[in-house]
Amino acid sequence: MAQRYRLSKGGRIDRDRLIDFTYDGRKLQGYQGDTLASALIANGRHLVGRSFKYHRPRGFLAAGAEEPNALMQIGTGARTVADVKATQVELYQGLTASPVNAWPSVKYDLGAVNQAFSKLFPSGFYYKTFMWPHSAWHFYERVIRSAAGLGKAPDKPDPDFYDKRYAHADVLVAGAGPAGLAAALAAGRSGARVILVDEQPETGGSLLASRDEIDGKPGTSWAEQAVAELRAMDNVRILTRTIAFGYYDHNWIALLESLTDHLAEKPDDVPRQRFWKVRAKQVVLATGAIERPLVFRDNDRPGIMLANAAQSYVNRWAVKPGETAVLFANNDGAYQAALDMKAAGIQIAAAVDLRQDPSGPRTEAARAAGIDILAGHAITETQGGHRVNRIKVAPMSEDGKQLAGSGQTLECDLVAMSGGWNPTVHLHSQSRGKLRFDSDIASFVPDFAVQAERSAGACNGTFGLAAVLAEGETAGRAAAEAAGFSPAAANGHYKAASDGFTPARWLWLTPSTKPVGHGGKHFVDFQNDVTAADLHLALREGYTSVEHVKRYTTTGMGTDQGKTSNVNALGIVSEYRELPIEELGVTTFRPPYTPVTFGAWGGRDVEEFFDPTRKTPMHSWHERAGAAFEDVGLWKRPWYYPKAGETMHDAVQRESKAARESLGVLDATTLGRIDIQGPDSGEFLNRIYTNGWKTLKPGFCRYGLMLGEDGMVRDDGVTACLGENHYLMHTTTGGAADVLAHLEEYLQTEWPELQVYLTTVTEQYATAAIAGPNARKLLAELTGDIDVSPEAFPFMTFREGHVAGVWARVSRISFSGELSFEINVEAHNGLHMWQTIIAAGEKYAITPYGTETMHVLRAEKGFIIVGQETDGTVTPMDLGMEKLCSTKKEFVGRRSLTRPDMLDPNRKQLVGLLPDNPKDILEEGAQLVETVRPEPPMAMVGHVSSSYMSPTLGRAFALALIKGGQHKHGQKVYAPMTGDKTIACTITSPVFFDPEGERLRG
Amino acid sequence: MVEVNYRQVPLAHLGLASKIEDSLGDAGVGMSDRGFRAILNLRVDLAKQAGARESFEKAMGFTLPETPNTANGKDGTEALWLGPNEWQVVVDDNAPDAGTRWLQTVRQGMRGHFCAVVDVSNAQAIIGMTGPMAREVLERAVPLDMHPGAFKPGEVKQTVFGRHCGVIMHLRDESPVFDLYVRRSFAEYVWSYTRDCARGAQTDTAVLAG
Amino acid sequence: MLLIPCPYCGARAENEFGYGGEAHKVRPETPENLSDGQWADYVFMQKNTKGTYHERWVHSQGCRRWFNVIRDTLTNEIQAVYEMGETPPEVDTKTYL
Ligand SMILES: [Zn+2]
Repeated sequence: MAQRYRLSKGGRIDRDRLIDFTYDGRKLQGYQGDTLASALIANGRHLVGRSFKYHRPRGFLAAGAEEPNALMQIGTGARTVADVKATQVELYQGLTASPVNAWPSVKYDLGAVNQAFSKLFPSGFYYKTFMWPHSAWHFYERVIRSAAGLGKAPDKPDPDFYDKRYAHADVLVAGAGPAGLAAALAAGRSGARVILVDEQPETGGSLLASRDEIDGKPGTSWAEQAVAELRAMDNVRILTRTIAFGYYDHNWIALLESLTDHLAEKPDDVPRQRFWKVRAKQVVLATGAIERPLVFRDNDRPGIMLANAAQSYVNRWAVKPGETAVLFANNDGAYQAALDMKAAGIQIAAAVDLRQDPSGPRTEAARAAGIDILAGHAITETQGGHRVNRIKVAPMSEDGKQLAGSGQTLECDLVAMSGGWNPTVHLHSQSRGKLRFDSDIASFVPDFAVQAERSAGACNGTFGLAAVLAEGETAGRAAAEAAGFSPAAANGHYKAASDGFTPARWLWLTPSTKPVGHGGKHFVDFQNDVTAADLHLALREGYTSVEHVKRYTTTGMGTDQGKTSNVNALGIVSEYRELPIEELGVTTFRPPYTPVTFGAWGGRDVEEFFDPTRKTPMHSWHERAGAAFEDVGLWKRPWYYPKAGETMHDAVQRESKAARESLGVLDATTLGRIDIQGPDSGEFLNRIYTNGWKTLKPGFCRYGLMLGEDGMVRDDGVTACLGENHYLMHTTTGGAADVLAHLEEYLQTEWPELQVYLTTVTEQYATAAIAGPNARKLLAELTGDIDVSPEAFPFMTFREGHVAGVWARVSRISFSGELSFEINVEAHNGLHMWQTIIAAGEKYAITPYGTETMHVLRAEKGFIIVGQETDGTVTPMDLGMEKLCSTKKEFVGRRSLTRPDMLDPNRKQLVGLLPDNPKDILEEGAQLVETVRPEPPMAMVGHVSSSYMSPTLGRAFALALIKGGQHKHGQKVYAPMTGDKTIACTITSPVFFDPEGERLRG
Repeated sequence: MVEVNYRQVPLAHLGLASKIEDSLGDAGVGMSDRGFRAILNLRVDLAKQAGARESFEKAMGFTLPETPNTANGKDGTEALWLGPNEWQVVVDDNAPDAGTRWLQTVRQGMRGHFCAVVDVSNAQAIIGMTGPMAREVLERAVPLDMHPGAFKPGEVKQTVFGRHCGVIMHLRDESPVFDLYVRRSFAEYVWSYTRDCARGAQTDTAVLAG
Repeated sequence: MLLIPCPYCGARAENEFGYGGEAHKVRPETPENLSDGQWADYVFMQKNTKGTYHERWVHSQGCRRWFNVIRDTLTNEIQAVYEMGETPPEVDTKTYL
């Protein structure tokens, strides 16, 4: 029969909207407003999973985020999601779900065999058994994972997109229950910018599941009215289906908003989730409390759930979680659940109360309603295969440590248990707020805040509804005031019931007919299958600190994060060690409070936006020319320009040859440029660079080497003297931002007396480097006002004039070893210049070349690339550049160059390598040895830093850093490769081509 | 030699001219390429360079804004505060030699003071942004509080846009109209990223003129 | 993400800033007069106090100015900010074991 356990009236469901869904292959129905959990209960489905380790049958423990058992695989195909709590899934038309912790099905679970061997699975079992031999863990892990059933990841790309945004608030209120609503109203009325978030689809929190009244009307009506008032305020933003999951430094709170998970049809234009990064001046935490299970023998059968969960299913979703219920409680508040269940037609077989002398307003009301109360009793045993059907109860000794007398058997299909309440202090604790143990409620409550936050209501240990509302209002007002607003005086007090859930009695471990560990299992952490016996074992084995117990037994791990298990575990440890709980301390709560998808973390910063891409003004031309691009820093640089049918190797050989034999052109726009001016500019350069700068005259350029204070090469480049006290520094492409920061740091922090200003002009210019024997001829054709003759325009000078009809600064410098000119124009003219060069160069078969050819050409000349030949451990001497280090002046890093390890003759030094077989191209990064052995270890003497095939040399060649290499020219080294191959090489000078520099000076 | 105007704005290859719409329509955000301006970077320590304030005012007809995060200007010429001794001078002059000419004007005016004036007209793209959703959309890209009470007309703020991209944001009026200055190589990233932010805010972008 | 009060621009998110390590470490005028040990101490060692710590930050995606911050490195509380060259303001020195 459809929805057999649906009550005929009540509940916050829409009975006009029937919803079809599929669970574990069966077609079922529920209503709009149901969760998957409430709909399953409406259909009498209680067996919803198997436990993690023992594969015991499990049902719903809870009705909210704390549910540890009902983990579901939702949906199919690309959108499938694993390990979602059924209690948090809103029902929608066509939803498909199946439990994750069962194989092949929840009823016939093969892994249940683990139960028979449960003695083999004590605490630390995985650590003890599977860690030897160490290398086998990968094998074990695979088997354990499939047996444990952790759900399936989608095997297709995520079809959804995710939004991410920043937000700012005066007051952020987390939780829209009675305390949160009262806080938001108080803060909102003051004019403060308020963000109110709640994980539920509707606001109201605990009021949605209770029959309590506020100001003489149902609590739900009060909540609706409060929300209507808040919605009318421009300064208030209400986010439902949004969970505040992380509380970070300086009141930075992360929220996750779900937008489409509850929809049957996923709209294309709505993000699946939105990740909010909120900076709040003040935070009010109104996150409520989570009911605590009781730890008794076999307390995990389906049909045994938290009393508040049973009450919620009845009141909020109008479903009967059972026909005949037993209340098992240690406190007064839980009796309201029994009263509500009774009112809904559920038979209450008995209330088993751990208290010797049950009292309190709800207890009295239950007694008056005719509920049979068994005082000082405990449940000693439970029975039932896939659902509890019978329990045994017995009276306890006065101290509650053992049984006192024989008991009775009760038939029931529902046990509603309550061990009291744990304030949800996760966010307070994440914010580094301190906790204290409150013995009145036997749980942890916020002690003091470290950040600008305050807790109100149940999460603060306050439980009477009237007090919760008052505390919420006070917190909202105080938060608004602290954020600089002046809230008006409160207009009267909210009228509501004043009782909390006490009086109560705290018994952490309920006695049974057999000692703990010798019959049945007393579960503490349902999700991770941790029992009281496991905790005892851990303690016996010497893990006494709570952090160790937690890790050794896995208590409070997984999605549970201590929500239901934490305090019970501490209580049991405390009893065992005979220490008060407050002396044990509490484990630390860490974000996230609930799992967060990777999609949401990534937001829009994925794929094309994973990193910004920087493009030169000539980029569109390179694209049209079919260039392959290389990422250099954030820049997209042409790597090579393959013609039809060419491989990268072919293209690079062709491009290199063209530059050596006729004419090539390179987009060199990406080099960093820093304008340096001021009377002390020359002095500044002298301190920053290793070489001297005071003799450089306007119109001239000079190569400079920049070190860190540690003496290691940090950057290099050519600096031009533009005029008196005016320079233009070039940096490497990748180093531009760091170099500017490095220079500014020295100017602002060490040498503020220097009159120098730095301005980045990297992007002001576009640069084309023309290189090759025909470079001068081409330049002559493109300019009318620059004398390009060797006498008028010598090497390492620059001239300003016009090229291609636009203003240009042309530098005669060379990174290719060829006759070369770098033509700089204003960036807006970059594409024009490039196209003009290409058109005019046609007669010289001008060949655009990319970074790979640039590398070949410069490596043939032995020119280094910072970041390739250097890695932060290379000094100028290592590179054979000691002549660039002035001995006449101080410069950054100089002192480090005389530290003893810098003078070690056995440091790795730059050399050239020629493989014996001219066709063997060494791998960059390959390690080099002097003596080859059949297998490692072999003493490594260096590594290959750059390696290419040179059409000019007609062979492969490489640059390498080798210990003492400068004195090993002519000796052999070997690069052992994978397989049996070893490449033998001869060490040479790093300059392979035109060592005298005749071509570039010509 | 005669200067020829072959210039291209940083977003030229997106072909925005062919996509320009007359009005926002239903789009929540309007974006535009502001085209060519003369942009100068000015560094001077007004506290230490006696008379520098007056020199600038004499040359440009308005005073440099000394209140952090603000702009000041007159007749299409404005100075944006970038730091305690740094300003961006922007002139609505799209002539090819505007940068050079205004550089000379400011350099001449500031002569005698220790300062630096650098032409950066080609180094930046200027993206205009308007529309009722502009603030909501920008809150997806920048960590600043974009609320009208926190970012007011006449204010200039520099921050990080998306990942690693610096941006100068100038709110011209409360409608709102923003000028976003970004380095030219990042222009396409900022343009596309903003469109994606609009998608996340569930609104559209329209391409507007100027 | 920290909220750092730039002395020039006001409070801004941490991702606009760069970190510069210990403040008030002065580069020696004549490094050649230092022993290897003294120089290594300058280059490589920082106090890295747990508690109140004087450090330098730069507002890299803002006004590009370097400035000093006094921060409790345990709680991340920012106790004061002040310009380069200024004398550090008096704050409660927080120390922890
Ligand atoms: Zn700043």
